[in-house]
Amino acid sequence: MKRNLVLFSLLIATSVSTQAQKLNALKDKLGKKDKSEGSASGDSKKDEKGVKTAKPYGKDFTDAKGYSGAYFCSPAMLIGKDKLGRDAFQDQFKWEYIHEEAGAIVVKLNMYYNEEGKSITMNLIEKYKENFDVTAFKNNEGEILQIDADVYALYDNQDKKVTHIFAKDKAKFEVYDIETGTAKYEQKKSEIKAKESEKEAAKWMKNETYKALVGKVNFVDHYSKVSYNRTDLITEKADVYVTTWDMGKPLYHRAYYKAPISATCGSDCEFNTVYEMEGVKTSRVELSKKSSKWSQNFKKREANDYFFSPAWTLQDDKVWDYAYIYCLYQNREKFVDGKSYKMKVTFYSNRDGVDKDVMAEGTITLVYKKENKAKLDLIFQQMDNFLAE
Amino acid sequence: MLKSLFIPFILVLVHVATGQSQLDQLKNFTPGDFSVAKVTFNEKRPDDKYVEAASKTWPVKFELSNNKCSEVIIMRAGVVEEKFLVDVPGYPAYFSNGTSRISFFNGVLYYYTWKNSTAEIKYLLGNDADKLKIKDIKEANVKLTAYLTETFSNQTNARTDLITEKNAAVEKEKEINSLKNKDIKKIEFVWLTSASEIGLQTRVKYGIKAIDAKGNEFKTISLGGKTPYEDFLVTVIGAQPGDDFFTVESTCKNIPGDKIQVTVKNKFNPLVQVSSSINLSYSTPVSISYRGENGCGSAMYARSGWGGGTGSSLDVFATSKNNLILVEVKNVANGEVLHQIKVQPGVAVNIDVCGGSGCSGTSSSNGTGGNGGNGGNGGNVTIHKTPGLTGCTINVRNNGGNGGNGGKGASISQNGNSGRDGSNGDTLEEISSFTLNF
Repeated sequence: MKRNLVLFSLLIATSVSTQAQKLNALKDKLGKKDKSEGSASGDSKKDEKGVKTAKPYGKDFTDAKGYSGAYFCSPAMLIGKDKLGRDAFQDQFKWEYIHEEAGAIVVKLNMYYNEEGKSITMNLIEKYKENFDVTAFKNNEGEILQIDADVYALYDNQDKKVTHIFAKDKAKFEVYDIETGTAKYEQKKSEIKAKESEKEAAKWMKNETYKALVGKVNFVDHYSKVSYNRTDLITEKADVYVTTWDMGKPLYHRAYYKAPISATCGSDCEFNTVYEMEGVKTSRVELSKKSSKWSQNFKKREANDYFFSPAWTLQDDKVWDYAYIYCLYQNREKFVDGKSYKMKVTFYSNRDGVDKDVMAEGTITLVYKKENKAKLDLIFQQMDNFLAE
Repeated sequence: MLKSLFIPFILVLVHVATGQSQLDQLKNFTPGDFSVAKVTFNEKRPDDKYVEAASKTWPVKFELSNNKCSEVIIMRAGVVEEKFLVDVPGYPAYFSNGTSRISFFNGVLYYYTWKNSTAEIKYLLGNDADKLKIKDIKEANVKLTAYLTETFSNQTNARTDLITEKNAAVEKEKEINSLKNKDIKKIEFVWLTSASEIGLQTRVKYGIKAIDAKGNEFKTISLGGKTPYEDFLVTVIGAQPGDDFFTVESTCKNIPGDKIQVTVKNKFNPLVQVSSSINLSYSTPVSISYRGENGCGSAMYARSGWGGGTGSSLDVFATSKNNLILVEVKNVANGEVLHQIKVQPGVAVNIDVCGGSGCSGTSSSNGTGGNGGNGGNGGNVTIHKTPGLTGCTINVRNNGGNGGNGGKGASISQNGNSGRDGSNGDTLEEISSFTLNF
């Protein structure tokens, strides 16, 4: 299927040709001399790589913020077909930034790319400007982010990479080729992500429950008592959690972190949980690597950007955390009716099987009662069968 | 015969090369300006990747000393500094910056992402630009992945050493902060929640400090220290125990003297102990719930179509005594006293006896959806107040539970029926004379 145009299929106040307005990266191999006759519209010229480029839009623009102006584009951008059906390229764009229009704040950027005044439209990402003082514009197909004074990198959402650099001064291309532009773009995005994360951390600290429980693993008798299916909302109060519980009854747990695991460990990390009781320790990641039958019973908990976990099950009528049950199982001979046993639960960030930092920890006191003995015996029997498989 | 010996020898060499740690691989590289090639693709054939030389070199810095290298610094495109840290120092397989990884392998420094145990190369770097002219990038990904997998399996001893080292550091810190083998002379208990904020069900924060013969202090985390709670034997009356905080009981029956009483002993020398207590001001609202169970039950898997349970019916007796409002809650069904509550005048007691929601019906893609369960009825509550009682705030919620949605059928006409909502319970109030003795 012929790919639709990137960047410019949307927003069209000016008419954008449906034909081949593929504003995408040029490969170096397209820098060969175009041997075709004719030109896109009016006279064309050649850029330094010998690519024929179309005449730019004749008007110039200015604005109070300095975004408007004439920008060179490297590499030259494929903008469609000329009158003879050949690929047409452009290396000079005229940017017009419109902050307000007809009484409304529009923060619009029109990027004119040919003599007739055809343009692409993007909008300023206001929250980047307000919160991080970073200038960037976007539409559904991609974004343009400032990487230096009057220098912008264009990131294509479909290609998932930086495809072009825009600069008011052509000399900047000596420094900012695509590789450099990509590196700077990714660096800026990382900085934004880190600052967003700090802001989010500050936001969470205003939540009473998060503030009271950050860094802790907490235990609850039913997952529905917390906002288990939301990553953007904490509805539960701290008193929904228990600190003492009957061993064998359904139990769930949830942790609140100081920072997401993706920030503290990296996107290539995963969560590990370690259970400790009476000197016995079990680890989800370690057990998952023991053998295939163990591995099938552990779903990898991938790194994410969240400040708290879902309400994971420790044990209920249908689901076990095998590491939790195995810890109880290994202690089963010690249990005495009416006695309490402390279980420490620690969440770690883990990379390739090695625990890195503690994300959260908590302790629950589990009371062994004879009224639950039958149920627990059944669980331990099931574990016996599993181990014997 | 020489030829036949030669081939296995080569295989052994290749095997050794693939399993070598980064420390061995690094010996084949010199820090400095590395040539770079990037992995790219034709937009018309995105799976068809190839290698393209980059225009600039990237400076790469690392130091191999005493057979250790903890980090590699790359100036990406000459402008962006990226620091990569070693994974397992004793036998490293890669260096990571949290998003990407790098590994030195067979004369090339690979810059890649790692997901689902597979490498995806983004850049190739090296002292020798010719080595970067790799024709088949897919094969390079496979070889790199194989190298890493084998190196991981060779890391076992190094990982064990790393874990041992980490555990030793943890144990050392524990030893420094533990009360074990310390001549503890005194223990202090610190209430971190003030009495004015304590009522039934509240979380009461606390900290413990132990002082040895030399005046050194050993504090729990809540006081900014690192001494573990398990070094103290804590018994508490009037609240449920916990690290960092107690949870006050939900009935005064379990709170003799209207105070929380705690005794803390040194686990290693129980003769060193302290007792403390704090009075409850009963200034915080109390919430109790005897809702009907939800039709879906408490397991993760739903009981499709099951009805919600009925909320409990309660008799609530309220009077005043010693400037407090006393509220006793009894189960109508069997007369059992469920709660004995005290609150300051004007502080709310919230009672929830709503009916449970019905569970939704099963869905069927080729038949009729199941009916949703009916919602349970709300419980009835009768509030008995003594004459002239003021400042008593009892809020009752006894709505009927929502009926469960009917399950989806093969077509709209085959959708199951939604369950009926439960009826609201009745709330009655009457004035009568009685005394509450708690």
